[in-house]
Amino acid sequence: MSKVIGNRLSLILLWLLLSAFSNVSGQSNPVEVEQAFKEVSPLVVMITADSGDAAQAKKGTGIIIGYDQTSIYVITADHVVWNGDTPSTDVKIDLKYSNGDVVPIKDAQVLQKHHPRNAGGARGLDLAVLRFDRASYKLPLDELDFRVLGKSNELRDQERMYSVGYADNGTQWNLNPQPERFSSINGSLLLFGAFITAGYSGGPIFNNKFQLVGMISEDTSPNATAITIEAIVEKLREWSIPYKIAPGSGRIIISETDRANYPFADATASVSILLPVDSPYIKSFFDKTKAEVAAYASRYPTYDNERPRELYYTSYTEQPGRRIPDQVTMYTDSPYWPKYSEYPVLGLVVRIQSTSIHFYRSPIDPRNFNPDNPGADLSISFSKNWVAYTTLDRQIQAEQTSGRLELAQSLSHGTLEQFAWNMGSKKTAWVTNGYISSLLDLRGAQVIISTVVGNLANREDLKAAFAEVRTQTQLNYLNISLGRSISFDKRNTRRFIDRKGNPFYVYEFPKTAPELLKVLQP
Amino acid sequence: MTKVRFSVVLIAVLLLLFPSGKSVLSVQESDPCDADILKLAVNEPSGYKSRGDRCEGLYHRQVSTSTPLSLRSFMSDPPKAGAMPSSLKVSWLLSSDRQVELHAKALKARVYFQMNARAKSNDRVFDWPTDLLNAASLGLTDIGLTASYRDKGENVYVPTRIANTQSAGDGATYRVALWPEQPLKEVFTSVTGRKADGTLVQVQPKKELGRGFYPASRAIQFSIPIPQSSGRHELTISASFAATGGVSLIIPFETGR
Repeated sequence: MSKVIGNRLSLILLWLLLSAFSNVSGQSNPVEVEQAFKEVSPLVVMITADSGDAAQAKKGTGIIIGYDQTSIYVITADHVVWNGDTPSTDVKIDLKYSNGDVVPIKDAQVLQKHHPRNAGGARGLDLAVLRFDRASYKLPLDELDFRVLGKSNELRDQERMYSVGYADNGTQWNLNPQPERFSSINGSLLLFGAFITAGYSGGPIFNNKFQLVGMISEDTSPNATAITIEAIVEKLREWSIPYKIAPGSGRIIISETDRANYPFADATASVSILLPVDSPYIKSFFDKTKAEVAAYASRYPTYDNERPRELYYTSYTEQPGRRIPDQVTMYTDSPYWPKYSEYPVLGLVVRIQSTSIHFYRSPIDPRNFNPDNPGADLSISFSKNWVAYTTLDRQIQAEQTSGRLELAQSLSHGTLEQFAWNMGSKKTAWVTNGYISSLLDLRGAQVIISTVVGNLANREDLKAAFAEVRTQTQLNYLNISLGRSISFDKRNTRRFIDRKGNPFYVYEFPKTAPELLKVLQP
Repeated sequence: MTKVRFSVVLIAVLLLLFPSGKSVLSVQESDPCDADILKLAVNEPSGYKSRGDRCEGLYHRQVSTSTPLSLRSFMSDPPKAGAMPSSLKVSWLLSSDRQVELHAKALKARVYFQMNARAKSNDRVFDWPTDLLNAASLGLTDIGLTASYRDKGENVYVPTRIANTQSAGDGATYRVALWPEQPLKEVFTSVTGRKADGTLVQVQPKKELGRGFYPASRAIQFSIPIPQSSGRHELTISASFAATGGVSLIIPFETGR
């Protein structure tokens, strides 16, 4: 194959991620979810609170709810700024202005009016109010649009929701890339399926029109808990806090229907490319990406007497409107695929014995993907004879005993999780189709496909490792994971229909290194 | 990695923070329940509450930030994956009689499970029923377990083992699990001992785990060599955050004989 490609660098990376978005109704022009978030983000603040010991500081999120002649008021979770009956004395608020500037306010005060989680033996609101000087806000206050409220009692089952918080222990100002799902209302508690991390406490939860319907309080896996906005407003009224938040019309978030034509929009994925070992571009890549490049070499023994099989991978989610199942399909020999001869270097190493697909609802930094400990929400590994299926809840591994492999297992929360893998009739070591049912909502999840062992990330070892790969495995190609994520767009996206009538999508990469680098986000 | 800059280094002395020292408030002398966790207990039979000789169960997690890096497991013989017995015989070695506090949490993300127990000073084994572990879908390898005693205001850890399970240990190392609450870029470990005359002895020089990235809420498991000599040692951990800054932990431990 190396003769075919010579020194010419041709790259194809095949990834399919379909982010499913629910249909929403409304009157305004549709916007991307990021735009909707940007519009409300001046109301969202980040809070750091302690009482003189910075090492014990707690971080959380807050929502600006109004102002008067002297003060601006912020609500957050009680447990962020109160320790039992003692308020934090040192509270900092990070404001994010509409222009993106983040400005710290250091003189925020915790008001005495608060409602702890456990109030008189009952479940309290876990609500606190802060204030800071109005003069600290350096932009005109009319840029704060308080017409953001929706109605929590109008949420529909499985409606998409969007949570905002100070993610990863207060290190990121984050809009969860994966929409949450409304679950239920129980009094003043709003339950939603979510993957929230430490730092979201006090943060807003929006409905599918990006209207504020609650404030995040707890993770109660598999759901998260928020306080309904109605309960909060009632308490603010009782406390005579001059709130200004008011009903708003919301926005239409670009719907799944729109996105079906552009399935790669907003998707992120790690990049695996195949490069000839001798390619001058190898050095070029490493020079350009330096330590951000992690290289892996496939060292699996090869199948004897089997021609190299050019595999390509597609993964996408289907079944709009259904929480399960999601579907992952791997194809070989599809008649709908572009001619191989046009793309002599495909996206994955040939002659590998096993591979894994890893799904992350909260994206990870792909350059740090660790195949030995992927930590994914769902991992599927398979080879000629076995399939392993791993979630955060459990692991299933099964040998292939017949043409069709089916597993079903009852999970702890009483729901049947099914898994079926159709081994197909092809005389191939490779699975041709897989259908995966998962309780995890993987739509929009980051996918990393791994076929690799042997971490060559160490720069000094790289050269020796290349040689080792060549001499010991006779592989001429390196499967390289670039330390970048890709932001797909509708350009270069092609839609195909497979034999069963299922649509699938192909993202075609530019064919030169400089062009490739252009689509890699820093 | 030696050039990693710690723009902010938080020195968090683990003993004072986690997991069983300050946070475990004795409701009664015989009740080892964690008062903070009690308030957040799941309102179900499997919820965290006092269960005779221990407090155990599931709880809700408030999602404000918390200690960025903490010790979650310190074992001499980590169990192999396998069938869960009806009870676990948690054992430890101590050179003298001391009251040991046992503390268990899940090594799985988003499983908010905790067990606190306080063994008698002459005990060297604790019988831990596994019904709640099963209810929480925790397997043998999902358990983060520590044992510690208080000495001069700090927690000293004692490596534990589960006697009635197959060991995944190699006899030459202890198995440690850390729990990060935010992504880490790199983790370094070193182990030192102290001779009778007070001089320090290096058991393991500073070593980089070298995995390059450590996601939040995923256990970081690694091994350290078992010191040749018995007595007090220290495991020192320093970690750089994926964002900025870093954290250090000092974990005193005793190698019992």
